[in-house]
Amino acid sequence: MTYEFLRDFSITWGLFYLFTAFICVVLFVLRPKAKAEAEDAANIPFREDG
Amino acid sequence: MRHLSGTIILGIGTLLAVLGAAFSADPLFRAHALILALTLGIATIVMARLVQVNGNKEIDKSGYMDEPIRIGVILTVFWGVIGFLGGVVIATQLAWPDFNWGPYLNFGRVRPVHTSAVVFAFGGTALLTTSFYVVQRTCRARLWGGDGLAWFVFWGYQLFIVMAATGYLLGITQGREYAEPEWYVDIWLTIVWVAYLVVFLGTLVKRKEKHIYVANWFYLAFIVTIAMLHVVNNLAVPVSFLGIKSYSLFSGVQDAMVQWWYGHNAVGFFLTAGFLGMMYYFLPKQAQRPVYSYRLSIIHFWSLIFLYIWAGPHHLHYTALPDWTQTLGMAFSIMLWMPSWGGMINGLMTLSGAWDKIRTDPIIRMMVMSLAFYGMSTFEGPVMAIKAVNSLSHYTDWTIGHVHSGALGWVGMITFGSLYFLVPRLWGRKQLYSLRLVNWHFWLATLGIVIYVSALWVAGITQGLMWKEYDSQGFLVYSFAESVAALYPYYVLRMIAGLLYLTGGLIMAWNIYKTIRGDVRNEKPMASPAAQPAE
Repeated sequence: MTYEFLRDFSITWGLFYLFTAFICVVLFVLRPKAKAEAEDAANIPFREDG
Repeated sequence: MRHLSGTIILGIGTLLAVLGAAFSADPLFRAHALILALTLGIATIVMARLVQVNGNKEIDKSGYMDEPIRIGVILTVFWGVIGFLGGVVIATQLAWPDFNWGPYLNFGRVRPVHTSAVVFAFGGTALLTTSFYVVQRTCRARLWGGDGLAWFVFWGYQLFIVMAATGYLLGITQGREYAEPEWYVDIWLTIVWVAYLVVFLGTLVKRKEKHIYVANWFYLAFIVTIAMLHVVNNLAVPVSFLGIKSYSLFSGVQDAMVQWWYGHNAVGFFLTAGFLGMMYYFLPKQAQRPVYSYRLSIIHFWSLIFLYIWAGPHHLHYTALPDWTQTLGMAFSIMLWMPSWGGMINGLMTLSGAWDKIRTDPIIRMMVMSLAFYGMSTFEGPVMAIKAVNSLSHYTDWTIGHVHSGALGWVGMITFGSLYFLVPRLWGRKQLYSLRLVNWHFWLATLGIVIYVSALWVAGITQGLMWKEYDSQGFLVYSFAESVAALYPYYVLRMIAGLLYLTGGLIMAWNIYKTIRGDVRNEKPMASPAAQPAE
């Protein structure tokens, strides 16, 4: 495993993997059903016992 | 027999420290081990006095574990004042070198005491304290692992601070920025940090709330990433197991890259992600309204996580680091604009519909100012990461000004705001001793930051331009010493700015002390009725 191999791998497949993962996260957060869940989660600090 | 096992462990620790001093390989290790023995010895005595032989009073373990949080609040204030004082001392030393009292109080030794005191002692204790508070409240669960583990994390971390700071003053350092402690202190911090992670994760697992609130995501990212950075950056081989000296596993440009991968992400995950966790809990609580967009906060989180880790190479522009790595660091730094500003807008917009609180509530004002500085410093940072700008700004005081706009403005202000929120609640007081003193603290701190940052802008650009000035023959116009002399007025201004910030910190200490005592200052309320908004 040479330096060149690692560098080429990371700037192609590594970049692709991380970018795709990020896009999936964004799509997951923005899916329609998430709105109600997010509103519920935003109120967690106001539900505590004391 | 509560505290008995703790006392025995501390006693054994003291004995081991004494043995370490006796068989030490060098005099500095002996001095450091004796300091450790003294610290642990005092802790043993204090602990022994807490041992209850009979009567075994059971403590109530049904509620939240708030005792370390109360002590943490006091220690955060204490370390803050010490750290700000250290900053004023080294600023004075830069302006007037006669104040270097060698060898222990030379600039070179006090400077890491200052940086570690504000970042790790003040900031770290604030993060530990608030994360314990927030994770319990948002999970509606007591800290996992029993009281002993949480106390171990808390006091173990304080021991790390004491060992780091005393080591610097003795001259023990591995010379890695923000990671100066030598190998044995690093190992201790690793143990404490893993325990911290276990407590935090355990509490998340036993939560009674379905969703993990976003503040905890930021805290968790901070804990996990700091563990990874700390371990890799400090991979080193000690010369002797009872000596101070160790050698890094890396060398040359790889070592430099590892150091700035660590250094920049210490800023990204310690001073940013951790304090964003604080912001996402305490700002909505103080404003009494949920965060503007919860979905934006999640996108903020993931984009920050995905981008920050690559930005480190911008500290090594125009060095032996490969060009593509420098460009990568620059590109990712510029992309960081988006999550940073997304987070800032999310925080500020939380106040939409309640903007009047900025006028009436000085705690909200502090939090808003902290977000404003978060926005400003995360705008300035990417600009400075651009190679062309960096060729002017690098190695100048502009960089130090930039760091302080983030540290004093963002980290300091959000912590002050959170402390003012916490104190009345933790000690069961109806209100703070004085809101007007909070207002004084706000203005002293703000004025201090503004003077500090603008003085160092001018200083940095002056330095950069003087260093780059060539004459028609291609010779440098100025000697280095001439550029140092040119900075004198800005160094004095910086010292004054630090004094203002320190005075604000002292006022906070007084205000919190009086609040804990339960006093309320007789004063006119902050918002005058005449200035109410028209309905």
